[in-house]
Amino acid sequence: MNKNKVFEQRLKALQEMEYNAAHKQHLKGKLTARERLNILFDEGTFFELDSFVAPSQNPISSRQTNFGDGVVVGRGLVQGRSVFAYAQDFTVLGGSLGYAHGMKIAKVQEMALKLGAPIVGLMDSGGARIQEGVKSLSAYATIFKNNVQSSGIIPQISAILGPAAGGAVYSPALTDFVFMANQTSYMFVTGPDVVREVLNEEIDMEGLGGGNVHAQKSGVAQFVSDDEEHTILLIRKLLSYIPSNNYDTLPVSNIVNVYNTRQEYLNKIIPDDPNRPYDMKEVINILVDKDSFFEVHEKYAQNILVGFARLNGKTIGIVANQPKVMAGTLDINASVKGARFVRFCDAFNIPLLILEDVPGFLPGIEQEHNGIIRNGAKLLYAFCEATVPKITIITRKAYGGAYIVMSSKNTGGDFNFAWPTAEIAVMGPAGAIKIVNKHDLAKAENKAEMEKILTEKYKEEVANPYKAEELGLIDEVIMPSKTREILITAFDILSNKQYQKPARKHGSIPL
Amino acid sequence: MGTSYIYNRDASRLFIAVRENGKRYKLFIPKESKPAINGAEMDIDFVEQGDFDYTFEWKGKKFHCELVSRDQNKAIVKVNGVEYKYSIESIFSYIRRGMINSDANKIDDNNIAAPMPGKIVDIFLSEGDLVNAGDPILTLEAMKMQNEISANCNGVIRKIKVQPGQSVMKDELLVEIQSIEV
Amino acid sequence: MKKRLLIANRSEIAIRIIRAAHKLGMVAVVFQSDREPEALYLSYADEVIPARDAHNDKAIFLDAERIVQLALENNIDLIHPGYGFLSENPDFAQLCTDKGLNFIGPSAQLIRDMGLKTVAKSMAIEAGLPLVPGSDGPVRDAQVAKEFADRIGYPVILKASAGGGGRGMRIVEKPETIERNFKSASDEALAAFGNGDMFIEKYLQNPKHLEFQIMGDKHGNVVHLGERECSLQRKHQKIVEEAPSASVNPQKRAEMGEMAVRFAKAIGYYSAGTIEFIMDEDGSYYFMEMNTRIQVEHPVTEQVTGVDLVDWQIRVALGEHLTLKQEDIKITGWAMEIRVNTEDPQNRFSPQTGLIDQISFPSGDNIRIETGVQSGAVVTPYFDSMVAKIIVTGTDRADCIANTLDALNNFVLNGLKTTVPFCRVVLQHPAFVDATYTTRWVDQVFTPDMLENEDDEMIGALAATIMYAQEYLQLSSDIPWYKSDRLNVWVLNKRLNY
Repeated sequence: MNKNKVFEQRLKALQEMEYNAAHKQHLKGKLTARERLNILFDEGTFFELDSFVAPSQNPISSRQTNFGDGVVVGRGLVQGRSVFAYAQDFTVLGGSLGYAHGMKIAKVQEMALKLGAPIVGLMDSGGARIQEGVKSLSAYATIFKNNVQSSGIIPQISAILGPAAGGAVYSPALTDFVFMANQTSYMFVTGPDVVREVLNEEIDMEGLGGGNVHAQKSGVAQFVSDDEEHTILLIRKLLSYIPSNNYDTLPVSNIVNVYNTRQEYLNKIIPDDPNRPYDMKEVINILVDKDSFFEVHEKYAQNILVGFARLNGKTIGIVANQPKVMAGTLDINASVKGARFVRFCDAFNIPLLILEDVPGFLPGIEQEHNGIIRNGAKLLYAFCEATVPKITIITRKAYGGAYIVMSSKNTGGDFNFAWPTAEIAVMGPAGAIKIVNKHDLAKAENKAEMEKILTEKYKEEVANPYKAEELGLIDEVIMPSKTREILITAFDILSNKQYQKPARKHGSIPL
Repeated sequence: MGTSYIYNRDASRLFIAVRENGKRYKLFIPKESKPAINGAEMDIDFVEQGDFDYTFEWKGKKFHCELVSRDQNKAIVKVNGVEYKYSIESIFSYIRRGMINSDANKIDDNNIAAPMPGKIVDIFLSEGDLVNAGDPILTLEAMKMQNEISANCNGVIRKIKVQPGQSVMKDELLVEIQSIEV
Repeated sequence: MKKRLLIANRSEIAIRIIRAAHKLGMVAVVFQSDREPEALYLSYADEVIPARDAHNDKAIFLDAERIVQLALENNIDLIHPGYGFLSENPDFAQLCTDKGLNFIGPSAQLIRDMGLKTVAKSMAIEAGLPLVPGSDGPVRDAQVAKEFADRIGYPVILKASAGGGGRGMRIVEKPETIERNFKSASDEALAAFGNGDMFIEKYLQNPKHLEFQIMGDKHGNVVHLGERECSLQRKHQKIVEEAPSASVNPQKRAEMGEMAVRFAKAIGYYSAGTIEFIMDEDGSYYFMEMNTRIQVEHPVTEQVTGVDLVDWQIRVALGEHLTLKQEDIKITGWAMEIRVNTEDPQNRFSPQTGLIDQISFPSGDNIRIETGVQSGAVVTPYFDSMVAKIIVTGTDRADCIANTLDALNNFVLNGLKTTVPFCRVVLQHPAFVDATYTTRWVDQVFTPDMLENEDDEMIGALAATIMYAQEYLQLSSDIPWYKSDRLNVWVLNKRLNY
């Protein structure tokens, strides 16, 4: 046996396999696994591992066409940073996960953990390989365990670029960020066929678990895109905000553009009428570096905004109420969305900026019965637990429990500022005067007039930020147009913040 | 056609801009020389660039362009005061979308339900009106805040099921839109 | 002692009046409304009175008692109400006069009379002005209506005498349908207003809106300063105005002008005023109403006659004699005014509010700008959407149109949409160029896709692509635009020994 000949033969076989795969995938409007990895990584930096691993069952018959067992793994550079990735190959055995396939993924996961590098998974798989039985399930289990072992130590990102059904969805569910592409990706635990048989519910794949469903309804996907290529480029964008591991320092951008002329507009952006909404996104876009706000989980629970941004080039995480949607109240979905993001930022040392304009928690039977108590507590827990620098700015309303939850002073906020338009109180004037001034209202001849007077009085004496300032719960009331300058200085002051928590296995967050 | 391309990053200075009315422009934006539109090189001069706008000079006229909003690859640009909506693709994503959408033109219903209980204050449009995703259709007053309910897709308003002054429950059906995939 | 003039108005007209006040050596005083604390006009005034109207239902400009009270507290001599707001409110004029303040405008009685259409029309008849043919009193019978309509000629419009708003209103084109329409209109009016009485008027299908500017003093002298054509309207709001009108030849001008002066003298009018006529397709014209204030579009008259109207308003109020003689007033050249409204012509002209990032106006010898905003100003929903006026002159109408188009091409407003692109379309439309446009043009002819053109569309695609490409190429480029932050040893130590 000519050893060199075998060497060349298998290389050629691999190339032919790739060519055929390209043909098949392109006809469906999709890219092959290697092409996807080439989009993800910098030019020519992809170092592939285990390209010739054979499937663990029937290795001989499938030797020439099933190299790699349906997944391409390796390491490459993303803008000069080391990143590990695996991309499932739908053209090989339907991308199904067999034992060898699973072990390849586990291998890169372990390597990424050892080397402190982020790991990206591009999923495109038919699910577990039925022929390999329990062995493929055990491979899944190993992958899930590795996901959890690395959780909070290295950033884990998954992009679903094809079907992901059954057990396969749990790996992305355990990772930090999930990307999906419309009309290409589907995620569900049980598919439409079984759903139809067992429950008689009629729905198609896109409707059960397509990109938009997971972005808007279930909140499983944080990012949705129209096109695969763009989805993968978004992963590159995300990586530019976060560190490579939990000991690493944050990336600092050398391009800093500011909306200098718009800072004055912040003074006028809050409407005089407290019942009129404004767009908190406008406020964010003016405060942070130009175009640097990268919203996470955009379509889910739109009454709260979370995302990364840069302030003077440095990454920060933003959590903000959105008064335009549902009056900015906190409900179950918003609390969970916020809590998840805060915990990620805490795990990776990303400082937090909280912009607050919240009239309270959303009332209602549905909220109460579905556990707003438990879920609101998640957001509170996340803020109290986080030891990263936290700066809160109250732009308008901050009432009651919601005020406390949104990183108030005594929950551990490092700096708490308020704008002059802030109203900080136990409850809003409308409700408060009915309780406190019950007698005055009953005695009044002109109720509407009396209400107006009492509301004014309430605002002057109780619900203004200066009261809180006197008590030291607000560090300072600041002019909106000066906010950006103050924030840059404040984050600079807090940049060395490190806090030792008492030792424990882990806390018991209400789940 | 789709089978003969291999993903190549360097070719990505070539883009296709598609307008909401279907009109396509093939644009090539090289680093050094003038841009080429639909194959022909254009003598367009970049006059100035402000914070959120560009001014071009072409055929002796000035064109003032302001970016109104951008969501990933969808942009709204205001040219000389008039807004145009574009969707921008790279050559490959354009071809891919063609493949995926070959069984396209799904016409399905998009219903808008009340996100919370409240009262209908204002209704801006009527049955039969054309809407773009994001256009406001009615105002729902809840928790003393005015909430704008907007269209969730491009389409035609089939039915408006409520009237001004009417109180609605959460998830109550407000508007039926027949979506038209562009 | 300098005279103190208070302007009970805002935005560009306030600045205009301040200019006139300064020309006469007066102290210009204005109000600062809490709804607009940083408005441009405040910086032009000599003194600013804070109105503290944040918690009131209406802004200071509508609060007659408060205006008068603050005026007295601040030793004001004259009050100019501008246009809109309380400028045609007879009670406000009366209150000013009662309290000894010199109200710049006609007397309260004149304002009251001209404010009631029925009174104005009956006075017009007395002065011999032609009115739109119509019933003298209410009509209650379909048969009477038919006879009437047959007499004055179709089409006719039936209007409810007890109310408006389109209810009880029918346009009848053919004699066969008048009785049926009369009955349904009358029934509707009865249901809506409790009164089924109807008026009948001749309906002008495509009317032109012409108005004559007059100026009178308190000593009985009145002159007219020519006409303005304001037929470019949308929902009864004017957008483009011009002086003179291409539909009025010198003979007609003399005829209508003489009528306007005759009417003003008959009612004893003084100060600035405008007599509105409506002109049918055959050139016949009818009196509509009189406006007893300075109007938004007064600059076009000023440009073609060289007369400073606001200056004369103030002089007349001080009792001066009019030195203008009718034979000396000449119309030279042509002028057009474009109103810059922050409304979206692509979307049913819905009003836009928000920040004006940047605004830059055209400049030149034949361009006059009256603006109420500058870059960084915020347009609020509390006030009118008109932020500026661009007035352009030319040697004749065609020259004026060309100059105006040039001026509009050099106008830039970033941040909000305006009606300027719409005006560009209007100025190039054949109906405008031929001066055949009427008040129905916008409803009948204009569609939003007239605003688009291929060149703009292509450049827009280029701009959008460049902006997208920048991010796309940055993301797909291998060159990192960031570096890792400095490693702080203290921090690392704490992290390692967590």
